[in-house]
Amino acid sequence: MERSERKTACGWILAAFVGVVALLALVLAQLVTLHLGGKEIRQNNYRQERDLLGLRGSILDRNGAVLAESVPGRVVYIDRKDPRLDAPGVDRETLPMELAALLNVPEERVREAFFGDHGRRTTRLCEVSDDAVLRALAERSSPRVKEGRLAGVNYSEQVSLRSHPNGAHLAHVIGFINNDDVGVYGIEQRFDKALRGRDGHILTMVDARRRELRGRRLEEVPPEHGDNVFLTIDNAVQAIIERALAEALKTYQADSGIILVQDVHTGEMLGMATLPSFDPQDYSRMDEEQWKNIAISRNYEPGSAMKAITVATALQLGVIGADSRFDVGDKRVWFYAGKPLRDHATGILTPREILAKSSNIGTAMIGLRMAEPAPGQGMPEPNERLWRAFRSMGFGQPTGIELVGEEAGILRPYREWDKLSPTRMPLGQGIAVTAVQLCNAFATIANGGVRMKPTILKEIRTHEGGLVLANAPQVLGRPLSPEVSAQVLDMLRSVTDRSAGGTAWRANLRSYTVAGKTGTGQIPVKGGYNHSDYNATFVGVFPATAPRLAILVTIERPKGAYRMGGSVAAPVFAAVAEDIGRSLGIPADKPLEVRP
Amino acid sequence: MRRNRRRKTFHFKPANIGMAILLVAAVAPWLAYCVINVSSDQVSAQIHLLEGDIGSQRASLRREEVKWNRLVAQDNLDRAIASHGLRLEYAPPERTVHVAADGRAAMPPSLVRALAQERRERAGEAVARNRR
Repeated sequence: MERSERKTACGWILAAFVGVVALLALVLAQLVTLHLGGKEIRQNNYRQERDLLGLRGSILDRNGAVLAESVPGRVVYIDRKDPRLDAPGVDRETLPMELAALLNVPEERVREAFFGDHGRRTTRLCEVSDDAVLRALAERSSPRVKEGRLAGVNYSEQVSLRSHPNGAHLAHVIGFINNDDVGVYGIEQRFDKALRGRDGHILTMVDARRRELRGRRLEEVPPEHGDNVFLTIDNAVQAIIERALAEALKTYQADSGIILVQDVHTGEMLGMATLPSFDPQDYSRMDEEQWKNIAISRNYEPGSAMKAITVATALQLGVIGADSRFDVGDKRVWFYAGKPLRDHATGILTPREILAKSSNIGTAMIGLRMAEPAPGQGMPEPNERLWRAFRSMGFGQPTGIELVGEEAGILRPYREWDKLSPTRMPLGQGIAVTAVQLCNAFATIANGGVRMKPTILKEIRTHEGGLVLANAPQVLGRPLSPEVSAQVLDMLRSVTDRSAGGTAWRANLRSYTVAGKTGTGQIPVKGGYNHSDYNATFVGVFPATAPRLAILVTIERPKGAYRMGGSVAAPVFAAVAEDIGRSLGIPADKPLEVRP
Repeated sequence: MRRNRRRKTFHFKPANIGMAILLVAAVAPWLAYCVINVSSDQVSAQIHLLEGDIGSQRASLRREEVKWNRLVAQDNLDRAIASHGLRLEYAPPERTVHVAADGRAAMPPSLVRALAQERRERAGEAVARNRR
């Protein structure tokens, strides 16, 4: 080899060497950047953080039946500007129909999301917790699909979704959770803190292919599922009253209705039905007013149902006796302070007859006696005794039930009363109550005069079943003595006795004795009362010989021939009470009719 | 010319042996570490897969529970029963027998009263018959 040739060869070798060294230097630089570069770069390279879903706790009835629960799933969105919509194999015309069938949503909703005038690019369509549906969605969105390919649809990461097995039943009690996973209204809001789960996470090292190196986990915080809230509601009782209320609203073409079932000894609510309801899965479609639980948030005039409270407290304060007599005259009208008070009862009436016949004049006379100053009882001002009597039965103050948005009712301070007030409030006019207050007042009479706190919470347990909180019955006071309670209960039995002229004979049951009182409350409007619309109410206690349950039925604005409490609400009571008694295994207290 | 070629023989020197031992001592743990590391990563990958599997099984179980809870909701049950032309009603108290915790069944009080009444009437009839 000549010298020049040798020189060229050496040059090539040198160049190759330099090239290799440069390449190695590059690799080295890359390695240095990866290992010694910014903290973020380093961490992103070999670290990975994963969130673990902590589910929201369940809401269950007293027997453990699920009323609301959470499940991992995904939210499906429609993206109407998805470029895949122009891909071959996608038929825009049939797409909504196919998506609707696959996701089990109305086709109109899908069409609205794709072609509506809302101006949004993406629309939340539905929630899917079924893996099979999501798998089918992914498979049919694949570019490999030649015909009927799905496009314009995306879904979120795994999130906690709320499921309500009973649909709109009990929606006002349960409430709902909004898009930010925060409880709104009802139990969801009241116990949001307990119900809320906490997401966990895993911080781990990964290999070059981003596979987790299980042995090199840096941090592991397990998810915490929320606590389970057990209500005092009995699902079977709830189903009975929901069904009956829906039928009643249809029959009487009423605007709304309430049925409450309360255990008189513990104050526990076994059922709370309010209609019209809403679907907690689809709450945004309803007006915000409809989210409110009218059993606690609507004040209304109770009408004659209030007479039972008036008589009970008058007996307790010694204003009247069981044998007192009141001459209501025979003109069926009585003038007081220049205003007429009409009545349908005549003659001389005892408190029992005043209740049975629902005499307005008789009750107004009792009210006037109660409104007299009673310095001997420490109530020297006029009206003070009557006001205190109503307060002692729980009116004019929230009951404290564990639900959000409870109203206190309207019981004006006695110093603001006018001359007519003591004759009208005892009849249930000029005073407003909530359904829970009224039901609880009757439960107080049935419970030997002991006023219990109405409650809807039984207990709270952890996800694993450990007890967090047990809600014990709470006594709020004893406004009536056991003797007076027994007397009033006996008087209220005559309200359901047809032979005694009782206004609520339609509330009679086959197996149980019933004590109760009807009420037909007028609806106040600006400057007076609306004389065509009423609230029909019946509050009953059964079995009257050994009371277990108080049931309130209120039908608002019934239309048609029947509008009174005795003809509208009492039959609804009868329809539910017998079944509830059987469902709860309450022993019958009526003699059995032995058929020959 | 014959060259005096001395046969070269390799002799282990104490220094070489020492070097070899040092080399083996240094490399062997590293090799062992590599082997254990690889196998540990394999096991961890397997654990990771199984964990993922358990997670998805749990989620799937939860979904099935939710599906079941929806199926046994009161309205659905009523609908299912009605689809067979049946209607369930609660038994009246006189036809309900409550079995106590000790296993004894207590007769409904209303039935006890009715039976007692019936017995009394029969006894009255028997007395009347005997008198005749």
